[in-house]
Amino acid sequence: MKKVIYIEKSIKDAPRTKSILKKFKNPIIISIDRYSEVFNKKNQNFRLQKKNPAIIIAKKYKNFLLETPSTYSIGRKNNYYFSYMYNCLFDCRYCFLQGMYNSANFVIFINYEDFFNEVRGLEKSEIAKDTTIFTGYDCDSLAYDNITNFSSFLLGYFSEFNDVEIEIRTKSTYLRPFYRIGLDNIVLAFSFTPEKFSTKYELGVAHFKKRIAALKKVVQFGWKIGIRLDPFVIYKGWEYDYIELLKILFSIIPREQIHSVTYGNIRYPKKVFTNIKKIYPEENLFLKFENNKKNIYDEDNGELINNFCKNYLFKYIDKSKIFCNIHEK
Amino acid sequence: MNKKNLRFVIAFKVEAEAILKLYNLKENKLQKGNFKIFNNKDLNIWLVLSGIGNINSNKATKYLYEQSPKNKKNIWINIGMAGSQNYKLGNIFNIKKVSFMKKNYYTGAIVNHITPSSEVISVDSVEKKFPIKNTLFEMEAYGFIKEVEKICDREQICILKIVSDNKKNKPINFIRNTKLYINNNLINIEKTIEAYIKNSLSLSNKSKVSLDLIQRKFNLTYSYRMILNDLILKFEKIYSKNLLVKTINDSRDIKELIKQLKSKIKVYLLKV
Repeated sequence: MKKVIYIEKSIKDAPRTKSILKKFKNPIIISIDRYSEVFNKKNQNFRLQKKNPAIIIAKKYKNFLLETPSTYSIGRKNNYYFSYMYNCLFDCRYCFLQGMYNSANFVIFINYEDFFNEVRGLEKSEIAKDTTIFTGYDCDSLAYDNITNFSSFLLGYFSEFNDVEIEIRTKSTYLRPFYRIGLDNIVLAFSFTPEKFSTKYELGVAHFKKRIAALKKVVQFGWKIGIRLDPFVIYKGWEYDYIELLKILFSIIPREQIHSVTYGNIRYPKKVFTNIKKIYPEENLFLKFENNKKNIYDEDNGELINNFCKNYLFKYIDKSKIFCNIHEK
Repeated sequence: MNKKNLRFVIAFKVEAEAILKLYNLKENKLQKGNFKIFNNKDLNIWLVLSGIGNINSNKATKYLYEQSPKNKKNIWINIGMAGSQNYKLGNIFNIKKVSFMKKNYYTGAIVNHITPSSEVISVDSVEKKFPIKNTLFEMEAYGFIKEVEKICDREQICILKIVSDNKKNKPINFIRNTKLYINNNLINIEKTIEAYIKNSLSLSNKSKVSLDLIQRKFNLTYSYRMILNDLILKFEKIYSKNLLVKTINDSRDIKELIKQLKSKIKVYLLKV
């Protein structure tokens, strides 16, 4: 199958557009006025599009930095996110993006400079030292990096910044831009579920062993590492698998390099869950999901996860570095 | 026999003849509307002849939708002839964008490997100048897509256009050439449609869980039906129909049944 690439007319000749196009052999190019003509319209089928997602090259004009939900933090008081991409190369069956958007196509906003100009504004502000910016909110930060070259650009900016902290969250093994001495204001965060679960439910993601090898390599460069056990999944045999997973992870990452660990159960706002159930009505993963909390659908397993994490994570790292994302009833 | 779930909207009989033959479609004379309909009910394939122009194609699409069975897997197909500045006569294109005045419509991007892709500009009167390169000019796609966008997902919309005339070659001998061009492209047309069918197979129709058994034993209000629909779907996924039947039979009333189903679902642990 060929790759269909939609390009907004106003940026069809932009150098970054051309450099993205070069990465594809004979793509089908369709010009559009605005990305919203082809992205997230109602009559689209996420499940079918996921078979061969199109790429939409677009420009963003406003809302470069957005506030995260109030509980979303890895230690600092002020938390923002930006999305230079919508959607993800990977196909994780639990991913909330599949219920958030009607479309599985990737949107790439190529005006990276505008995102970082806004970050620069924050860097100069009084709150800079107490601010984290997340890049992997509407996409995996690095999954498409070999096409977008975004991380090299980010590294250039953040080597000039001192105070604002940024989190790059990924399941990707493409970490070449990070084979250099780590920057203090960047957290490389890796999402993990146990190998058995990942193989079945995280389609398109590199094999667990390959990801562990990639993590090992990047650790050598001294980067601050975040571990994201979010989602933390309960299934038959989960306890043993998670104990093994934690053993592996904490044997690789020196204690002083661990920036933070977050964990949380699979949970969705009502609207997102309704959409996901429409796409995958037969999915076993969601059989026990109920409206347990105000407007949130999840399994009633928060306490179980919390107890396990408190027991085991405290063995490896300081309490102050652990962040729980389980909503209370 | 595997159903193909196809809905064709084609302007003229001469453009449709090869399709009628390919899928063994027969005229449905019982339907007395403004448009002729052909079908093969075994394969769930329906075809309407719309006549020329966007207004007709729009009305015919609407008509076919009303007359034929509705199904999430239905693929809506418009096949026809088109003019172009530079494309060669007889070449076929899978259309990914339809423009009409300042409005743009898009078909799905997934199926693009069998026939080359292109765009059409839909017009209300015959275009002779073909002002834009690598684009097709025709008269029905807009009326068609405007309607099918309301009916199905973009990924289920297929527009195939064959070049009948270009700047160098005026449209002559329409009937003979149309037959020739469509027959020459018939294998490609069939293969392209098969690719759409293959994709649609992965779509699941909403599970039709039978509540008959429960309805026969207990009186179900609307809200109980809703609750049980969800519970039965989950229960059958985890356990078996036999256990479901046993649980229904063992329950004295509807509340007990719901309690039983819920408690059995609650102990389920995901197997990886």
